[in-house]
Amino acid sequence: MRITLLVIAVVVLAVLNVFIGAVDIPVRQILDVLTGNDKESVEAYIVMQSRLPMTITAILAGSGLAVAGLLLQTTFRNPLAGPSILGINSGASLGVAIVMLAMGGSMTLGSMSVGGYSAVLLGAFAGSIAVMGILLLLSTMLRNSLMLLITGIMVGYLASSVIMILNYVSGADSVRGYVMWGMSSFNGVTMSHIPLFATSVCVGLIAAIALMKPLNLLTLGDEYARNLGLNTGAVRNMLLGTTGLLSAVITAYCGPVSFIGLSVPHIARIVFPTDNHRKLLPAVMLTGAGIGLLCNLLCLVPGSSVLPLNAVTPLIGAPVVVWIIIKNSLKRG
Amino acid sequence: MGQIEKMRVEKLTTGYRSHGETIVVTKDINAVLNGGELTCLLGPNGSGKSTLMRTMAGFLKSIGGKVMIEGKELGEMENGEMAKKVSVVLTSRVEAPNITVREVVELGRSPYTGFFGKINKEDAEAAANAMEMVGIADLAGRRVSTLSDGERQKVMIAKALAQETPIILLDEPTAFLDYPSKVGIMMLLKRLAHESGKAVFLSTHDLEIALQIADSLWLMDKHKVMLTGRCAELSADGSVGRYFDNNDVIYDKDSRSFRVRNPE
Repeated sequence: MRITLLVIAVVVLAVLNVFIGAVDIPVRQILDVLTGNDKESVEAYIVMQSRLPMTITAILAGSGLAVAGLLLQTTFRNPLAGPSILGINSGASLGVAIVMLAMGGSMTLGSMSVGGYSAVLLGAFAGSIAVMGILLLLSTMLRNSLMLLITGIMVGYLASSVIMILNYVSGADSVRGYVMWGMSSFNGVTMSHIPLFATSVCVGLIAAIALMKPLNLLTLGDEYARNLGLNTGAVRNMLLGTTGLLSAVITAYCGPVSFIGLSVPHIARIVFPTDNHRKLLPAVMLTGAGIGLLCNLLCLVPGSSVLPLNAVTPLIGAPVVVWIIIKNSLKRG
Repeated sequence: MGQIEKMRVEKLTTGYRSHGETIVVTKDINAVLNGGELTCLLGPNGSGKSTLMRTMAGFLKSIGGKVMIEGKELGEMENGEMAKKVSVVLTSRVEAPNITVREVVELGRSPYTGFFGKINKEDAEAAANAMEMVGIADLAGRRVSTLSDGERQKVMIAKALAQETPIILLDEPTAFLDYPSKVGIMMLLKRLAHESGKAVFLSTHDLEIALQIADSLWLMDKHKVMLTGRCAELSADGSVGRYFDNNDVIYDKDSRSFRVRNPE
């Protein structure tokens, strides 16, 4: 029942994303474009080459980041874990910065050749995996979740510092390309890149679904999970790989989107109060898609210009984080 | 009650390996766990109870010697096989805020469920029976995070029962409980051992309760050889007294309790 409502909400938001945009296009004309009766007009180009890929990207990126957040929260058994707050996005950013600035950065991701894109993706992937590896290593030493969180934030600052130095020594053009990427947006994926983007994200989502049983076992703690037959080391690596893939692909295309990964699992838990990943995972995927679409719409609202994504996501994410902290400290008295 | 051997440790040396160094905690232990019995592992802090327990559960590699489970060596078993032989109840708390009692107990079925961990009719029945045996059937729908420490302990015991293993290891299951709950848990475990024929093995600091309830004892001390045997016999022949008596306490075998030697 609740899941049906969630599906309806996602569908409605997706339709709104196609029908509402920076340019006013009559509903009639959009329907003409979607049914294939209008292929030539400027409006047709906007709908098919901008709004449609942007809507698909918002769904996949929202969903993927939310799942990455859930996997991290279960792996670290920490409600405040998420790709952005743990510095995984910063790691990806650092990788991208190195690649982009090395390549001159005059191109934006959308117009990049597949070869150039692969280099950026590889940079993002290497960066995020490196940070994840450091965090997993530290998590064996730091049982206190707050300490781990602060460590993650520090790793993030370190990455930002290196990025700043790189920017400082690079030319203005390169920096501009990187800064635009850094503000995040769902419009960086062109229709021609959608198949590659969608495939990569779907591989990550399917991997997450395949890890449902191990995720449920990990909610009991590592030793209980092991005693119930789980190869915890291998599973941790698979979780690391899946989270790394999702954050890396999405960060490479959309920029370091903040707060969606961290906050969506909690928003989903408000509607579905469960720790059973067989129910939680689909709920998080749908909520992530919905929040992605909602944020994309909110970017449009004020007048003609389009806000960067990272101007909007903290408005939803930050209050959720504060709420979790308050809730947890009240519980502990 | 038949004396069916479920687990045996032979010349077992336990300890840790850290920074390339081997730190031995206990040396050359020989002991047996029988089915249908409650066996208690007693010893002061730092005597290596926890290390021994973790080695028997397969969490720590032994430094030397063997752990034999129903005739097969522990080191030769895969995680999946081990999961059907030995279940554990640990001191760590389950912290997931929304997980329900039934969900935890059903996770005990994991060694038998498929790729996605789907619970079939048989699994649901096994979990329901386990909750019934432990007396928490009425809590099935409750969230574990809302339960008392004693209730939580029973949930983990039910999880271990649902796992359907011939051996259950419990690391200090009575810690943090009030006196009646300690006795309650211990009596429950004894009943389960007798009814199910499982070997139930627990470590505890609650000497007197253990000495009154246990079927068998493993007594540990850092400076002494481990002593094992039937609880009644070890108590009656003065072994327990010799093991624990010191300048301050003395064991009274008639009441199976300890007294302070010089109360002034």
